[in-house]
Amino acid sequence: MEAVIWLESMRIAMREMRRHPTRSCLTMLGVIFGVGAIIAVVSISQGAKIQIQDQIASIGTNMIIVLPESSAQGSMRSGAGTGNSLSIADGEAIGRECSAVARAATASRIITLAVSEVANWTTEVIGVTAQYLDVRNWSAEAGRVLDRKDIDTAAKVCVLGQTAAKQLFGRTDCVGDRVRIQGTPFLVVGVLAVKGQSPNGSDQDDTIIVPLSSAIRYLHGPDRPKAIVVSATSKETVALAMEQMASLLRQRHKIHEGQVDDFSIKSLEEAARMAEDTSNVLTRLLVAIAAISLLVGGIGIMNIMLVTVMERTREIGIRIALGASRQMIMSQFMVEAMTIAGVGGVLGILAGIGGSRILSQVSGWPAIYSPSLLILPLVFALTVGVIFGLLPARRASRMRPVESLRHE
Amino acid sequence: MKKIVQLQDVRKTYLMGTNQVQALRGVDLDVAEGEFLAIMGASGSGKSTLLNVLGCLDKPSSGTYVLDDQRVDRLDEDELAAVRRLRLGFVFQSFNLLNRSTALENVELPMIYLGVSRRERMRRARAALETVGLAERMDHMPTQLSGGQQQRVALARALVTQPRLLLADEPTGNLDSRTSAEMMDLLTQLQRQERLTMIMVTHDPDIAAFAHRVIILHDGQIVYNRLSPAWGGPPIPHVKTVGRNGDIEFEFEDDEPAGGNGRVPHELPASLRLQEQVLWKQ
Repeated sequence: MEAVIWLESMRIAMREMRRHPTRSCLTMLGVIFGVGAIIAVVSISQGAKIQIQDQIASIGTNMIIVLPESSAQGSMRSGAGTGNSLSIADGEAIGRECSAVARAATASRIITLAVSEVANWTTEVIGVTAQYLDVRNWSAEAGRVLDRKDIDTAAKVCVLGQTAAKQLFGRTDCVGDRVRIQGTPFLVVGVLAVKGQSPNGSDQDDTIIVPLSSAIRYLHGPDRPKAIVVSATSKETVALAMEQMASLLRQRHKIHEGQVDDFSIKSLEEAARMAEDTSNVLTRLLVAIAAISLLVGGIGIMNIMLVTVMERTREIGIRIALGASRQMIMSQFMVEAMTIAGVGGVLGILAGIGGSRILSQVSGWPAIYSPSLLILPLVFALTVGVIFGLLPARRASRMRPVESLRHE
Repeated sequence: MKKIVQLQDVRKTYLMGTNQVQALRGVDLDVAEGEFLAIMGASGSGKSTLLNVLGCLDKPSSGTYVLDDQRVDRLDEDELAAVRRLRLGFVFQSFNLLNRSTALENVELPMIYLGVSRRERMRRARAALETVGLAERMDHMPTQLSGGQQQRVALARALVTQPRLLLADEPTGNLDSRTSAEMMDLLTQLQRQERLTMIMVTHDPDIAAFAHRVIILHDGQIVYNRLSPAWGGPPIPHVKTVGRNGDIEFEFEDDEPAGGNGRVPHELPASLRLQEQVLWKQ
């Protein structure tokens, strides 16, 4: 019996909505915006999260960075990464002695002018030891990467990032050409694959990579601060690797218990987690706002249902006279409220997908929809329909037949 | 002869502001199966209240009401709703059709609450509309139908569930005299065919004359209870209040007794002849 009444009530609800198109649209608007906003916000933030994770992964796999602490000249301190406390030997020791470390490389970095036969370009020049590109998980698209022999012989060779190659030569097939850096010609032996943006927005492809030994000999001398980049054996061993590295470096630098380290160790996981935490907080905030909009939509439904119940007092009286129980009248108006919420919810899903597409175009973040992202807001909308339909439906079901039949 | 309705000392008191209004003041009434009873009375006499009680739309303040062997005066709202949908049919003065539904959908309505499947509802609703002569107008909206046609839709709706008792509240009140006569012919014809028990409220003696028996309410009490003129009873009188103490007097018209138009009565339930009596409550 209930099924018959529910089906009928849905038919009635659809008819009522068609009879009052403007009213129905306005009523549903709150639900449409609420559901749409939830879907747009969550799909975009999920897309952004995955993109950030991809970007972090693009820097390197399970990567840990060791930076020297501040250098000091008298009482003036120059800031993190400016000291010269880390040596090539430190990097080698880490690679050799820390069991949780898969690879370790030492690198220096300067910003300087590079000149080709056709153009000049100010870019970063990174001096590296052999395993650097492996740690960065970076391969050559053309030519080859640097090998141990280049490092050992301080060869005047370099590999170019895609952007640097384009800026210097206007093309990327420049293996065999020469780039002059601070007066020293370097032979281009390879061009690297595209790496893309780093999480902080800088272009990772705008770079020239040379052997660290050559950089020391020809570009910046031995005292240039160096960093050590490390990849842990797995995601799970990152923390262990960091501990092992810290204790090894303290030992090598003769730092006693209670003394301040002259280096700092950071993992990209931490950076990733921080980025994710920030975006999670933001997402939750936006979803909360969207949910409030959905609740307000529910109040709109309640309002219109109260009007409907008033308007249809006589109809309710007729139905009661013909034998509808309170439960049946209740069901009818609950189903009507839920139909409004449900139709609004479905339209909201479409609006959410449309909205997130547009946002995605504008922001460049992909929009990602999981099935639960589409279903949960609809369930939420229906729940709102139930909650806010309750009062009007109850009012309808409590009507006294004699009085409602007299109602004009 | 089975009794469908048995009322004993039924009273109904309303609270109007701070005043207690006694709408029914001890009504005793039996209605036999297959009987057609007309309830008359001036406005305010309590006839609508009585019909509401009979129709289980309102509960008596005291007294007992047995409908079709079931005591119904102490049932709760939902039990009364079940009684209405299972045993009662209603025809109202203002038709009370759902204006946004077709004739067919209106007739389907009471069956929805009985849980009848859509296909079966359509079948039975079509048959009922054919019975009242509206086969051609099933898909019309009430507003596209004349008053007489609307009332016939309402009648089909009342009969489609095969009720034990049909209650009609001024069924011809909104119809012109010719349509009224047609309506009453249809009602009496169906009533006879189906051996339907029917109670009708009317203020019009000509309409009341179609019934087997006429009762007149005055001030919440039955003051007159006789066979109708068509069935050998006296002409239907007017009730007049005389004197300060509220005594009443029946005033008969001399010429042409209402409804006594020489109809040949069909078979009257045997019990009615025995019941015939005048009640003087004063």
